[in-house]
Amino acid sequence: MIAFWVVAGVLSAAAAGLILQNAARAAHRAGSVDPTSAVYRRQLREIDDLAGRGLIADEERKSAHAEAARRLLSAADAAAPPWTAQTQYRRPVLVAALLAPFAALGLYLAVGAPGLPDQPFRGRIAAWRALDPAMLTAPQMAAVLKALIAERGPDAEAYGFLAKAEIAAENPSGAIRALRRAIELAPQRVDLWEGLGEVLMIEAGGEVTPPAQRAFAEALKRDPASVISRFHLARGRIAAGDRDGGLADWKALASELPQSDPRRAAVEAAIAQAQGAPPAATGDMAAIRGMVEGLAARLEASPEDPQGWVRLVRSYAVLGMDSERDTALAKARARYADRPEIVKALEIAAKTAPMGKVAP
Amino acid sequence: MIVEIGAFSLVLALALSLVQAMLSAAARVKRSRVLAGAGEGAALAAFAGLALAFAALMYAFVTSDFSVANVAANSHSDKPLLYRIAGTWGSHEGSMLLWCLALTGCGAAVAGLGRGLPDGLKTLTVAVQGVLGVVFLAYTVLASNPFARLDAPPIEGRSLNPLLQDPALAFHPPMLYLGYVGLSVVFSFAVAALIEGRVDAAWARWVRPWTLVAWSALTVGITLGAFWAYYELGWGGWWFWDPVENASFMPWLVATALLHSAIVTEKRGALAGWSVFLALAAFTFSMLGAFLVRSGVLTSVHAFAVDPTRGALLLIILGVTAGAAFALFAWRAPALSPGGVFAPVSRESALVLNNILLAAATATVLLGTLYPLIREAATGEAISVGPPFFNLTFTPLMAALVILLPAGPLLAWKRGDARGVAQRLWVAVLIAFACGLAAFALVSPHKAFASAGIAMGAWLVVGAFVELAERTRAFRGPMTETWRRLIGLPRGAWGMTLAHLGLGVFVLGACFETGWKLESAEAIPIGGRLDVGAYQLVLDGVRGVEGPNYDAERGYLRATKADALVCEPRPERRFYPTGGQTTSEVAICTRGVSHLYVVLGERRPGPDGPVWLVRAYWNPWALLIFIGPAIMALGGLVSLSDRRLRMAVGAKEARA
Amino acid sequence: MRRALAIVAAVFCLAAASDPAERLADPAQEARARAIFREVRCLVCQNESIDDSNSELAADLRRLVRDEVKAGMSDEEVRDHLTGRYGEFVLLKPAFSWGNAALWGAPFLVVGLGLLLLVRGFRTRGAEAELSQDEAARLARLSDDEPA
Repeated sequence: MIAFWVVAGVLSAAAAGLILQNAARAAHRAGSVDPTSAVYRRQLREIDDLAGRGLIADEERKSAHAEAARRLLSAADAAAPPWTAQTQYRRPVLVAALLAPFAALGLYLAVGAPGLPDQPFRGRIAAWRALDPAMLTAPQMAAVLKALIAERGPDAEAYGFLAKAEIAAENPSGAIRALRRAIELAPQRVDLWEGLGEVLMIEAGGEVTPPAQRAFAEALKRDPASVISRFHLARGRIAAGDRDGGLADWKALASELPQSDPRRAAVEAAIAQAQGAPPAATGDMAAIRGMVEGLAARLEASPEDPQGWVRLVRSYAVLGMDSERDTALAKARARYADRPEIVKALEIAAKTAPMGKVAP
Repeated sequence: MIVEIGAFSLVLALALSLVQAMLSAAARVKRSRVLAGAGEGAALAAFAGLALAFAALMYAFVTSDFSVANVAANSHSDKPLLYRIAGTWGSHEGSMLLWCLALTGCGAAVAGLGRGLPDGLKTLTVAVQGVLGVVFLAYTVLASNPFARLDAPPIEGRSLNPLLQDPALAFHPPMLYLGYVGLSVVFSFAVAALIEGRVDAAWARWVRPWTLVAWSALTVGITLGAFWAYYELGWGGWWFWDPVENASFMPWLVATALLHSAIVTEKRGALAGWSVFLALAAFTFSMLGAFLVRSGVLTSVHAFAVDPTRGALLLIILGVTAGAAFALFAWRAPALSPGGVFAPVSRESALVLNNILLAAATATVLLGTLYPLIREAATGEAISVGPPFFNLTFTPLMAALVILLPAGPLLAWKRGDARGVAQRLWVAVLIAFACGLAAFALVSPHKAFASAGIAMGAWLVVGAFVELAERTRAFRGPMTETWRRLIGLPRGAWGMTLAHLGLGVFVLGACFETGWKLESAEAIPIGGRLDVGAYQLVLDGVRGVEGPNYDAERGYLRATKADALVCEPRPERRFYPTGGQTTSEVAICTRGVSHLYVVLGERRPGPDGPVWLVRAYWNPWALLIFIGPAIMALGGLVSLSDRRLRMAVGAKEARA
Repeated sequence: MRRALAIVAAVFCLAAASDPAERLADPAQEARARAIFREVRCLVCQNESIDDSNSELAADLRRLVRDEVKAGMSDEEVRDHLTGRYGEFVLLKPAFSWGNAALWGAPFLVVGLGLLLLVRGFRTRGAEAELSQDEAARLARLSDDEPA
């Protein structure tokens, strides 16, 4: 604040100084003659010069010379007396030089924001990093993670977290970019490929687009048992019109899953839905709900799966099931209270906006 | 703190401009050097303040300070540095700041460089610049403040339009604004001379270098804009007679006319009133160009920073400024002397014809741009005026100008020798006809109009060389004599020859490209083929690539001619997630002065896997379209370096 | 700014008329259709012809024109049909009508007026003499004063 006023004062003084200095210099400059006649004298010399080099004919030279000479004569007649350099106007100059900064100050106080510090992006990120991560919003978290990655070099894990933060920040395209980078670094990680497929789906409003299919296929290549990939690929087949093929895949998937696996129930629910009604948005919704219920049941059975908890919380958030989300969040928090990065991921997941907002 | 220093500097510059206007006006009334010097000091200080403000805004953009509303609305932390810098002038507020920077810069230039000018003319010019500065700075500070702050800055900015994230476009606005605003000096000179009542040959000489600077900058600025449209919009066109283009073209036409009429005024004292009129009109058209588009009154494919409310305010400023200046002109002009006489066949007549044609061209463009508005306001009927209108009206006017052009510089002042000129030009006539005939006969399909255009381009180019040969007595005396003359030619003469040559090069390129461009488009799978002209394109593959702030599909193509590999175009289709926009990044293979222009379009499902819509153009001689104006601008700069003109600006004459 | 973005977003991919999916089989008819496209305004766009625009309405208009060209209608008939349906606004080339007389006539008017003034200037101005003795003497005196 003080620095600002000092700089503003220096600037004002410099401006006033420039005005006064120029005024003083002008007062000392000798009174010059009217330069107009000098221009015409030069014109006369030019005409002679051109004629001397043979560039204009003699006749032309004569008439051009006469014309320029007449201009010179009339300029000499009209020559204004030189201006005064008297110092009687020093006072108005001084007043003006001093008034300008004050006028500027008055206007600045009306339109400016004195004392408001700069907020460069880097500085804000540094401030966020100093905060408790739980206090950060998802976009802030994403910005912090990006800065971290830039600082510490690329790292699949960090990109994975960034992807989650981006999803929470309703920026699926950012999440996709982050996941692609993560996959470049760790192409063998099935969960990244699955995540990429899911985000691509979210971006496409729930549709299993060809890029999403490719991502799921990559996941399957690395882990033929990838349930998520098989489930969505089959869903894509149904949506594309191959209802029987998709249902057959789902049935095969269900039969391979052990009875105790809660995901089996979810797949079966989806099959029932699909058989009951033609594949539509509501059908997809029900299938997703089924999946989420399956996930919840599985975590109930074997709770040692942090990523599973994060996914569950996010799923509830996406589905708009707020009370379930809060219960799951509380449970997971209690479980992983000693692991802040998981708590952070859970917080982010919980802040995910409901589906309607993500994919309008 | 830096942002607020910028905000304070901007306001300080406004106050200093006011002081500049008042002290300079008082200096003229009291005929006091002290007051005049103080006014000049204020002009220098105002420029320094604005430069500081501009630097502060640039700092805010570079550091992505989203607490500045303008940065938050027009930048993003992901953007590459160049486009964060270019974002400074990419918005309404920022571009107004750039406008003011150029305006105060011009005021400071007159104050600092104009030591050879008469006291009265110079002081009044500085005063008028001060008044213009007050008007535009007040608008910027009160209605369009680029330093407005946000209490709750957003996490991320809203990014700059991806089409504007392009090197050519990053520098197009500064050049264009330098041209637009450079004409403000010419305007101020005209107002000052009208108040002084002395519009004479000396005035024309003093105003010429300023016109040359502005004209050269405008030429470069418009060309950069056309070049941007050519390779960024992705359909190979470079001029669309769009209102925005017309708006920048009109001041250029007027400035061109002024450059020529000022010669007559300087050499013969004639056309003084007309030259002053053009000087006033040039800046008026600049303001019209800069503001008409923003007001939202006209629609355009290039429209940017549209804001109807503030645009209306700008149009009011334009009306008051230009209205006052032209009222002064109407009052003072009748008293101006008519100047020297000249015969119907003479250099003067040629230059007057040039001005008549350029004035008619300007009127055509102006009317073509505004007529739909006028007609709708008058009768309620909506009509469109598009490229077909301009092709039918503007082109014949320019053709007439081109036909007359090579004769002009060969004619003597006062009374020219028509037969002598014809004798000197018959070689050029012959060559031009031969070129036109050759184009008609050899290039298929046979096109009469395009061939005539080629003949005209050749006529200009050969005419420029004939003019040079004439000045140096080439082929008519010993080589050493010719060489001596060539060395001795004034820079101004070189500048003119270059500018005329550049126009010829442009005409050649424009006619050839327009007449014989080839277009070809197919939806092809990987491995598919597309023929355009003599070239075969094969799509080898399409891969996803990731840019700093976009994702893209990049096409890998091979272009062959008669089975020989020519080049490997890599067109891209980019998606910018922050704005959700798609742009196409054209691949251009330069073959001599021609372009093979390849665009990757959308992906579509095909019978056997996906296909891509690939468009290819063969744009023959397209490079000349942009080289020509570059030569013209170079001519302007060479002229500017002429000793005689520097005298007019510099101090030596005053001490003489 | 938002509106400007929307405008430019509509522009990003042009030359839509060259799309092979829309093309007519007969090259001569296709060339005729393309020539007509260049003179027809895309009504919802910012000052583009339907040859350039990829908006849906432009595609509809292109289909209409192509169908009519294919059906053997003359250029004139196609244009008349378009103006009948959408008004004169749809044509980028304004009609030669009295309402547009000022528009089409202006270039000729300015050239005519300029030539008239030029010719009048030749008549009214008198000849110019060489310097009189008196003037020459004053010039000599001024030249003596020359400080250079």
